[in-house]
Amino acid sequence: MAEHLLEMNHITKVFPGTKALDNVSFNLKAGEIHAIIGENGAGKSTFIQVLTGVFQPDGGEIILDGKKVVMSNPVVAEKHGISAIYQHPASYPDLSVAENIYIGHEFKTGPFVNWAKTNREAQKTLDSAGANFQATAPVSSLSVAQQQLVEIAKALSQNARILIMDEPTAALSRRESEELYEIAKNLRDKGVAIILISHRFEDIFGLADRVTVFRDAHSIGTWDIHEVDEPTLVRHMVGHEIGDYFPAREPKIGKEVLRIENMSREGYFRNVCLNVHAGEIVGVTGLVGAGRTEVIEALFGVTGADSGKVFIDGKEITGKRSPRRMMDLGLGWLPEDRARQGLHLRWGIKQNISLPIIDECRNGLFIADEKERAISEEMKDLLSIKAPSVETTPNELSGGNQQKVVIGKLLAAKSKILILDEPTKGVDVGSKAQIYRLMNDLVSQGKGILMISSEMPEVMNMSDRIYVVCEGRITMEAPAKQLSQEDILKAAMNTDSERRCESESEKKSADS
Amino acid sequence: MKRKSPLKAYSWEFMLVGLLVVLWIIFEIKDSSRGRDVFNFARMMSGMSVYMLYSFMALGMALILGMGDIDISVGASATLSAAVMGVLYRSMTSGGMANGPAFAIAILACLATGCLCGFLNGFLITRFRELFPMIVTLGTMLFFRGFCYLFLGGETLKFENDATWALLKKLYNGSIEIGSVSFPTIILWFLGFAAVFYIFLHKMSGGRKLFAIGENRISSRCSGVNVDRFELLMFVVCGFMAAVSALFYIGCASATVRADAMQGYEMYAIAVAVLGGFSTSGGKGNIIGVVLSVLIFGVMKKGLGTLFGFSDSTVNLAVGIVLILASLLPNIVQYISHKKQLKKQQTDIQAFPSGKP
Repeated sequence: MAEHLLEMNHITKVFPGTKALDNVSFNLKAGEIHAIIGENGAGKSTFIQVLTGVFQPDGGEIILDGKKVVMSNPVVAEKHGISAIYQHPASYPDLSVAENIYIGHEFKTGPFVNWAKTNREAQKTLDSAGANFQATAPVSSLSVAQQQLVEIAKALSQNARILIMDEPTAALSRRESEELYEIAKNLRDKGVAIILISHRFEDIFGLADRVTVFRDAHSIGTWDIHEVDEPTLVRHMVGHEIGDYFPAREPKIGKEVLRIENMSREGYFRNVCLNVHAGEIVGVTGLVGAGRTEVIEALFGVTGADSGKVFIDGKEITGKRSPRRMMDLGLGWLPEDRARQGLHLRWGIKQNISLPIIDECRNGLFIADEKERAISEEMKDLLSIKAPSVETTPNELSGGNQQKVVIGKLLAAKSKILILDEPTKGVDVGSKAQIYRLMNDLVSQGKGILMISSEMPEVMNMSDRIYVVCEGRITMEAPAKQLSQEDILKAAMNTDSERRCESESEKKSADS
Repeated sequence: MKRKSPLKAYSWEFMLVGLLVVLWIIFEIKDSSRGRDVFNFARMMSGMSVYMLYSFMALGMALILGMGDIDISVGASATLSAAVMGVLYRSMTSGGMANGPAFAIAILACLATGCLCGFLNGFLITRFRELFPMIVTLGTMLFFRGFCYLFLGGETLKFENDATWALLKKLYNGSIEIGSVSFPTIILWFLGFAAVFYIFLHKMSGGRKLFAIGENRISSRCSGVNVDRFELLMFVVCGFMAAVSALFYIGCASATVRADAMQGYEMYAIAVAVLGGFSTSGGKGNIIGVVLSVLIFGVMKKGLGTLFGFSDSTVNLAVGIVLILASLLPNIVQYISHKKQLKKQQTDIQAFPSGKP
């Protein structure tokens, strides 16, 4: 048997105008997890698409089990035992797990589907992958991690030997990610080779045996995982020193700018109290689904809250809240799902940035193009948005640049308090560092930032103060310096305790 | 919303102009082959009035479609507005009120009823987001129409000999001589309204918000557009335009009001707006296209009617075909370019010599 299960030598792929892969070599051993990392556009996706037969390489060879093969289309790749699972499982939510696994190749008795056998075999595959749910359950009742497990089971049912996981944990909470790690390790120990693509260093250091870095259509190198550390990888990914990935900042905390008092919404969150000061970055973390985003939606009046008070600059905001009203009061909101909530993907950067302030971009009654242009050009320069012009549409931009456009909207609206919900989700390393620097600049100008994030390094290093949310309640609040990762995790999974907050009146009565 | 060359940015409008020219040439050839001159610009203009009745509704509908909504109750809203006007006028005059003031109040009541119908639609749609606008307005359509029968029964209110109501007849039948061509005033009214709508949609921030809602309602809301309030307001405007249509319709029907009037006008309004470039998925469209589309409908109906001898109902056959073909055109263009791309990929794959595993 050859040393390597898969070898890809000198792969080159040219698209009109760009070289997506330039003489890339890669190998994979049976029973290893091999991570591929690189910035967006480094060629990872194209590389995978060459392996799975979506694209044909313009040069190079693919050797499987010591024999040269041609992946002329995805079906051929599947026959060779190569399967891929993606960030968002493409399953049929209303069908059962077994139906999803065996769709297209069900066990049949004559013309009829043999459901008993299909379900039994599906259950067997699921059990071997370590699933804790029934094959007859509808897929819509499963968590995203469980749905990914269904995809994995589907691949196993087709005798996959090489499993490609493309950003599998991007949509997962920490707990779910850890579940997935266990599953992946389990598969590896059974001899399946796994190619892992991820932006998250936690995934890579927690899971991979080897790591290959891609940059600008080249493979920069392959290392055993214990030979490298995070700064080294980052340096290889961006090609130069990023400097301080999390830039240092001397906090100058001013007076309180935002306070939420005892906000509750039945079934989502209860008695949430938090505050933000000028010049302060406040991190809010917890498991995905803990109710963090829901609090923000209630703050902006997108959904209602059953009770609770909001104070801005010490003044209580009474009456109905709406995004418009909160924006006029100085709050800016970067929503979690930028494609759905943050951007008009098919509109130009200019129209996106001017939308929140469109009533100010006028000459008399009419929209003044020169005002729109001026503010969007200013934001494009300030945030160094990489785009040919302000007419470029966000769906042509990378995740990091899309996020900068949304930030541009907040800054154009002169927000004093920025609520950033997962500001670096789906953003490559280089842009991440830029966003962190920008956040520091903004607080040093006296703005307050409330950052919701599931990424532990980001929360630990960027925040001055951290709130941990668990099942809709704040279970801990402390200065970031006093906390360790373990403290946060413990609080994030602490379903028993609830931190009571003292409103001003209660404080006074306690004093007297 | 991207800045493109005018040819690309207005490709749909150019297509409509082309369609109009083609129709015109066909009719001219047919006309001259018969050796008569019934089809010319002057005759065309003077015969357009009856095809302008739903054009006001189409302008209102453009707003609604631009937001990705639909309103199929406009025909019934218009009839209800006319019914309220007639019933109110009759009861006021029979109560001893002078004709003039009663008429003025009745007209205001007509317009207010249209607005109220739109308000009801907008309220239900923005308040109960889980309901489809199509279903909500289907319900209100039946509801409004039912109200008309409640007010009027099978009766026809006749104001043919009323001097004040003759104003509406004049409004509809009147014309203005410009050169040798007499333009019906209804066309000028339409162009006036169209100009206002054009400025609102394409020059003012309101139009930007409207298309923003049609493109991505959630993101618009998060970007500070007061979506519910704005959308509700646009439904009110749409109802108002239905009432405007009703005023012209009364003039056309020689100052009579019936409960079964303007049946199916909502469909013409939607058809005109869609052919004008406002797709039902929202986010795009141009009022210039709607103006062209009104002309195309008029020319087609008039031309096929007078030159080919089709009845008005048979002409709908051709109108339907044109509507479907025109709407399909972008898909066809896309399909062809997609095919080209596939073919290119195929040759790419063949260019790569393959060995067997």
